[in-house]
Formats: sequence, structure tokens, C-alpha cells
Amino acid sequence: MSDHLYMIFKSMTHVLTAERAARKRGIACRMVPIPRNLSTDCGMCISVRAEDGDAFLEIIKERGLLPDRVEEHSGPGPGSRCYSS
Amino acid sequence: MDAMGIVLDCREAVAEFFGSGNPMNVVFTHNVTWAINMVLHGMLNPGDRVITTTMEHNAVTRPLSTLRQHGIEVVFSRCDRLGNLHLEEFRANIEGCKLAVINHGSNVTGTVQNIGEISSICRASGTVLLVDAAQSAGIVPIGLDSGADIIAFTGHKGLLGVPGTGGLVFAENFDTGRISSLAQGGTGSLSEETRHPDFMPDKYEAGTMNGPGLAGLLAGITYIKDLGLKEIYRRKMEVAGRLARGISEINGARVYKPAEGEPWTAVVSFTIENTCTASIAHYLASEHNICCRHGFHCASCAHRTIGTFPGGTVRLSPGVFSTLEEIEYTLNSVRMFRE
Repeated sequence: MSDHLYMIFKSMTHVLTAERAARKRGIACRMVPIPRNLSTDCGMCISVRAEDGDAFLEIIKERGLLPDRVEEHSGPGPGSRCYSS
Repeated sequence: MDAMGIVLDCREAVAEFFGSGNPMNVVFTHNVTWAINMVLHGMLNPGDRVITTTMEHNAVTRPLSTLRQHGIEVVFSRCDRLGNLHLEEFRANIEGCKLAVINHGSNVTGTVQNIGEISSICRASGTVLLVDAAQSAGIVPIGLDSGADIIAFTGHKGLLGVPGTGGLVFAENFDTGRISSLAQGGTGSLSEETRHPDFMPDKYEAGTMNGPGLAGLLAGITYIKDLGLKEIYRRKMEVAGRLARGISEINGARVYKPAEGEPWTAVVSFTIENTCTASIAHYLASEHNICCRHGFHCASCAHRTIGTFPGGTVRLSPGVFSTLEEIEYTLNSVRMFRE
């Protein structure tokens, strides 16, 4: 069972838009650097608690957004310990 | 992150301002010239046909002149002496054109083209419509509801932002696959790949964004939204109308503007018979501290159209913050020059 999810988008504009939309609706999430084992991209992704994943996806879908990938993660990692809405 | 957030705020504000429901369809560029070049060079290929008007700024006529040398056919559809496009002639000329580039508000006369009518003609012929709203956005209504496929804008005029900002707004159903990117580079996305992203807005936004400039543009658009476009237009008409009337009453002076009651972007272009426009501009600046621009205003084509080539005009541009006292001071200054 994973602790949290990394939502990986294709561009920073998408990341910022998704994070803003989710926070407005009270989803605790934060922008973090993409872990290097998930992508060699130098951008950011969104870390969200696993239990909030579905709600997060629903909210951003309303904005016409979808992440390129959703990666499950457990244990220490960028954003794994600090969430704020 | 806060700085990036401001860029997104600005992207959302620009989208809302031009009636787009999708901020991803907003692309920021260095200025409107770059934005227009991006569409013209990215879309047109040898053998293509493009239509424009005889009231365009050099931001349009110069890239088209270059493209003409590369085998693109350029059609200039005529405007009358007040700068209004002959719509029937435009309709007759448009067949087979891939793209129409239309100046919405003239930087010489302030004439405003009827984009609703023009977009209907474009749609009927399957022609993409690019509207150059550099001189009109923030003064008269312009948005995607006009039927434009692409709107090019600048930040530092009616939108009350700072120089070094501009961009494009694409209609939701427009296929950006039709326009290749003019520059490629860092976008913060797909960094592991050497190919440039093909998705919006990264496709057209290579390199570092002008964050401070976009913060200024955001402030400008926020101000316009708070004050309201109708109030801005009312204030501009009050001061520009008084200025135009006053100058036209001066012996030998002539003002070049749309007919009374027609939409107008409130620039006041004028000449005084047998007088060099440079002399008038220099006198107003040096003796009365009044900034104005003389000559062709980077639009010699428009001056040929309205009959002020080769002398050009003197252009005064009262803004939303100009006062009637300043207008009277300006009128007295022009009268003093004439005396």
C-alpha cells in the first residue's frame, strides 16, 4: 500500500494549474521536484496523499487536465512528509 | 514558485480577458511583433496565399514582405481614406487564402475594423483569421467571441503593462499543429529529450519567461477589469474627442480619425498644412514637454492609404489617465505653434 502519489505532468504550466485547482478545493498537495528515479526531467510534479488521489484526479479533470503518469510511492521522498492545503 | 505562480495568474487573466476558457491556449512572447512573426513564419509555406489590409503596421507588412521573397503570395485588400476595410473587395480577394492577418485598431488613425464581419467572410472561405489587437485591446472590446482564430496582443499599450510582453491567444478548436514553433529551447518539460515539446503552451514558449514584465501585465489587466472597459472607453473618448475637435478647429490643421460615432482607439493623428510634422513634434516636446510621435508610426502603408504619405502625421495618444486640463494645455501649445 503506497503512502502517497506523484502526479507527473508534461509541463510546468500544467503542474501549477493542477496544484492551484486542487488546493482551491481543499486537497492537501504540494509541488515537489520529480524524483530522479521516476523521470530524468528537470521539472516539478505534485505529491498528494494516496487517499486523496481520486479526488485530486476528479478536480483536475474538470479543468481539462490529466497527469501523464501517476506513480505510487512509500517511505521517504520529495514531499512525502509535508502536505498543506 | 511564487514567480511562476504570477506567470500562471497572468496567463489566466489574459485568457479571461480575451474570452478563452483555457489558459493553456495563451502563449507569451517578447512582444506582439514576435507573436505575429511566429504565426506568419510558422504557418506559411511557398505557394501559400495570405491576405491582409492596407492599414497594417510593419509588424505585419515586413514579415510578409520577407515571405513574399520566399514564394508566398501576399494580397493587400484596400481600405478607404478613413482606414475602413472594403469588405466586399476583401470577400472577393480571399479565395484560396490560407491566412488573413487583420489590424483591429490602427495605430495611425485609431480606426477599428469590424472583426465580426471579417471573421464571417474568413470562415466561409476556410481561411484562418489572425487579429492584430496591439492597438485595440484594453480600449475597445476584442475577444475570441469575434470569431478570430488567433489574437495577437501586446502588453504595453491599452493593457497598461510594461514593454517586453505580448503574445497570442488561440481559439479552443484551432489546431496548433498548423503552426510550427519559431524558436526551440528550454521549457522545463521533456528535459530528457532533444526534441522540442509539441504541446501548449510550451511549444511556443522556449526560454526564460519575462516574469517581472508579466507581473506588470497582470496588474494592468486587473486594473482594466476593476475599472471596466466601458468606463475606460468613456474616459478616452472624452479627452481624445476634445483634443481632436480642438485641433481640427485650428487654421490649416486636419485630423485623421474615423467618422463621428464610429469606434475609435483614441489616437489623434493630425497635420498642419505646409508644415513638416517633425517640426511640430519637436516644438511640442522641447517647448511644452508634450510627448508625441511624428512621421509614419511604423505604418507607411497606412499613411499611403489615408493620403498622408510622405509627410506623415503627428500623433498624440491621450490615455485613460489624461485630464481635460492636459488636453487644453496641449491645444494651446498647438495653437501657439501655428501662431
